[in-house]
Amino acid sequence: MIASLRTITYEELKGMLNRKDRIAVWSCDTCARSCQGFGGEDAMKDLASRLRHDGYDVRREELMVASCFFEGIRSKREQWVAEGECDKIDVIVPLACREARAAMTRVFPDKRIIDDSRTAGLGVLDENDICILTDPFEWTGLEPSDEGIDLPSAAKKLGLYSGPF
Amino acid sequence: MVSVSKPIPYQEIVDKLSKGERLAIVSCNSCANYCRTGGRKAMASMSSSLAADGFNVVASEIVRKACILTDLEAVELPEDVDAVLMMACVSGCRAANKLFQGKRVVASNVTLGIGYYESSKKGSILVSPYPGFSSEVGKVFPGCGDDEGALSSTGGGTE
Repeated sequence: MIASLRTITYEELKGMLNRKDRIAVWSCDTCARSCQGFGGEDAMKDLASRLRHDGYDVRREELMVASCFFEGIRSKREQWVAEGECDKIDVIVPLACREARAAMTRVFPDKRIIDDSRTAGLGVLDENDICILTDPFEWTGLEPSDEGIDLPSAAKKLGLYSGPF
Repeated sequence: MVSVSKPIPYQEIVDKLSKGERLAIVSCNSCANYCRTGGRKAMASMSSSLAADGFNVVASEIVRKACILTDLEAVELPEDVDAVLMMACVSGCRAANKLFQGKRVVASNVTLGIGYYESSKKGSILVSPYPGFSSEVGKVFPGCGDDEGALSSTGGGTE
């Protein structure tokens, strides 16, 4: 299970967007959802709604079961093209891990993909469907352990954020 | 989720096992399967190799995602299993350490980091590495010649 932490606030996200941008909110429904609801359908709908309320042009909401599959992302692009929407999207706001963003960057080289998360490492999904970080990456300075650390605590230590925008 | 792993050399795995133990193999059918370090085929290959080498394999079970505690909890192992060989990434081993109390958990794989799966390349591409694997970023796992999964001779170890 990939443990993702959000790197920007909603206000900072808005600062990265232009009112003329045509936006797609892309949300991963596996690891990112389990990361305190950073991704998933609720986070996607809520963010899209808030951005629209604040005057941003959200054209599409895209929920993907797991965003870490290259061909799956490419299929989504093909779907956008078939629906005549691909050329009408400028920016993708991904509620997904950095690794999925790497794949998305290959598939959507013509879109600006917002850098809004950082992967803290691998974890396990506990009985409450919550991701616990057990094997952090070196940059976190955190120690690996069987017990792990919950993402809100990890975010606090690292000066980042957990959960949805 | 795509953790990227490669197999520990077979002999190193064998050196961690005892022929007097009742051994269960639990194999993850997600990320490790994409890297051919888990999944049914790698599990069957490992089971038959260990049995041929005189180890007492009493169970071989597939788990959908070893890092999900409720998935791993659903795996039924014989009560008197002594050791569990986890064909999974480090997250799966962490979950096994938590759930298989009183049993020795042995890893069959090294976790290189996290990436994404590309089916046209028949493997997972490493994006974010753990220490010691920065030079592997951008590579596909399994690499050429690694299709035999756990029986290939690549190095490293984690438990």
